[in-house]
Amino acid sequence: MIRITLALLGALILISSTAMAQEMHVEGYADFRFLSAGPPDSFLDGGVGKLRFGQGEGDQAQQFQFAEASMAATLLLTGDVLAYANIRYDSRQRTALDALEAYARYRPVSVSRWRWSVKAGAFFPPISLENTGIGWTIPWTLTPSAINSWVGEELRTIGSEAKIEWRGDVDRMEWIFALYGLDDPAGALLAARGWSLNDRITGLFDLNRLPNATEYNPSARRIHPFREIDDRPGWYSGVRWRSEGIGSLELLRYDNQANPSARRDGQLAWRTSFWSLGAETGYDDFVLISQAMFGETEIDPTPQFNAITKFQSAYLLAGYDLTDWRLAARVDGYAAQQQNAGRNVPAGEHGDAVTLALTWLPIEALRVTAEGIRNNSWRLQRTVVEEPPRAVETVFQLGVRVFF
Amino acid sequence: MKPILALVATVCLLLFSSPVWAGSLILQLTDSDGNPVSDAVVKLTGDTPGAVLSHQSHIIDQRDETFSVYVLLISVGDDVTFRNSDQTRHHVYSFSPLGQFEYLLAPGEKSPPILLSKPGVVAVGCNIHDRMITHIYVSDTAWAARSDPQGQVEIKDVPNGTYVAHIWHPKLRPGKPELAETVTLGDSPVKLSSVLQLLPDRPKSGGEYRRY
Ligand SMILES: [Cu+2]
Repeated sequence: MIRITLALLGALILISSTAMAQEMHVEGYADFRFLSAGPPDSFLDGGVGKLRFGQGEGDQAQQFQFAEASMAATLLLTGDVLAYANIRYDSRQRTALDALEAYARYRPVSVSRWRWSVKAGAFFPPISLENTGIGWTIPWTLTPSAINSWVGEELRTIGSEAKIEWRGDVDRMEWIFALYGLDDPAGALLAARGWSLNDRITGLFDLNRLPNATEYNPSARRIHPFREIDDRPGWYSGVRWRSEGIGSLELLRYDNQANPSARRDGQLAWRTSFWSLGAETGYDDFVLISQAMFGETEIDPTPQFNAITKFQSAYLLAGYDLTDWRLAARVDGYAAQQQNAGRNVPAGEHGDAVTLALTWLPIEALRVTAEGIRNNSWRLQRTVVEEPPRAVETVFQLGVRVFF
Repeated sequence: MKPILALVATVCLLLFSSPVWAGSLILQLTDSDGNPVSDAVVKLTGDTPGAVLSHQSHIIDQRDETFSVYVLLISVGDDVTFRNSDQTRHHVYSFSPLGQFEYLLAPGEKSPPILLSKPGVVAVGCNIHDRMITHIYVSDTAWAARSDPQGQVEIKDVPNGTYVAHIWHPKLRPGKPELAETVTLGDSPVKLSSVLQLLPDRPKSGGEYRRY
């Protein structure tokens, strides 16, 4: 733990000292939150709540938090190769410093309409249409949709991704294919906890906590999502079309190819595959973003036990961008169904969430966002810890981000 | 007799031809919100082709990861040099059918002059910084001008006659018919205004978006 932190810190200092001034660009932010949260407890504390913040008893409670500090460095090695690393400080992660992404990209220049590139390292698969900001943040809101909350928690491409672009005068096409490993536990949270809405991205060395109500795999209440269990690579492949003045459409198929009966160090491999769809359009100051995802995850740890969880989610985000002010409203819907051989209580769920956010950008280096979320969900698993299956959670936050 | 006639004819020609060269066009360009549109190019085609001026050399600078101009208006046969005034490398390139080139420029470096001999628009990007973009408008006539920050275009000293003013801007909504106005230029300047349907800049504020 300390060794990893020191190694990361060392790598950072090394990168910055060797490349100082000439070809390195550093960007980042510190994030402070004033918040008001109600019951139930957040899943981050083992509770049955679906939001990042929650508190078990009574009415809304107010608090102030230094949420995190994130720093990203881009180092230009040659004209064609760049290296990128994003490191975060968060007092509640396992190591004080953790990396969200670290990769190199090779993209030779092309004087034709075609251009290809390849990325290698650890990075987010190209699913989110929301997380376009520094450190995988969202310009519109503080909290991502259910889909991108899950992408941030359990998905990371640790491997290589190739991209081919075709650049027309108005239209643009992209084809993507990736091979990766170390993503076998992905899907565990969706099955054991279900969907959530939270901006707590899991670092590469961090652990995800399963709810106290979980009945799977009680030996491992914490799961390291980025590890190899069955020594089988996974893949994804996608296509994106973008037309100037109209918008964009994208489609991606993801399959981690995990062997659902594999197990290593008490952790299970989850065979997870899904379809992801995205669309974006806008007119003048208005933007509409929508994503949908559906798929399933499976484990077969013993001949007597097998669980298949099917999951679905979609959201629609409407944004209004006035340069200094941004207003966003998002509606999320999500559901999961479980089939367990040898189990009577299915742990399915369904829910919806409404998020409203107002962002003010008085100067380049400061962003202030007021956000309210109301999440309404039903999950039978809550009865295991004697909570009602339905929960309505509300969180109000004022996020202050200082960029450097 | 004949030489006198020739002289009279010449004098007449001189006399009547000079006021013919008085035509000028002033065009005020705004977007649909009424804001002035800079960096549009207006070109006149019609009765008299405007002779292209003698060869000129142009420089596009790169500073703060931005090209010094968003639109550069040049004439057919001119050349353009890219200069990197930043502390970081830039990789300028174009895949335009009118001119394909790529130059990796170290800080302080200049590209060789790039000769552009065909009319049209050459979009130029940076292969390192995706958001950097500039456009070179190569005109085959001297009767062309770029709008200033107040959205004004002035084309002076055009022979009297009827012309079509072609209006171009990099952010014009694609798929629409070309924006053009027919103008008759006479002795007094012609003032016109035109509204451009432009695509919005997106994302709007750059501070928190990734640069690479
Ligand atoms: Cu550049």
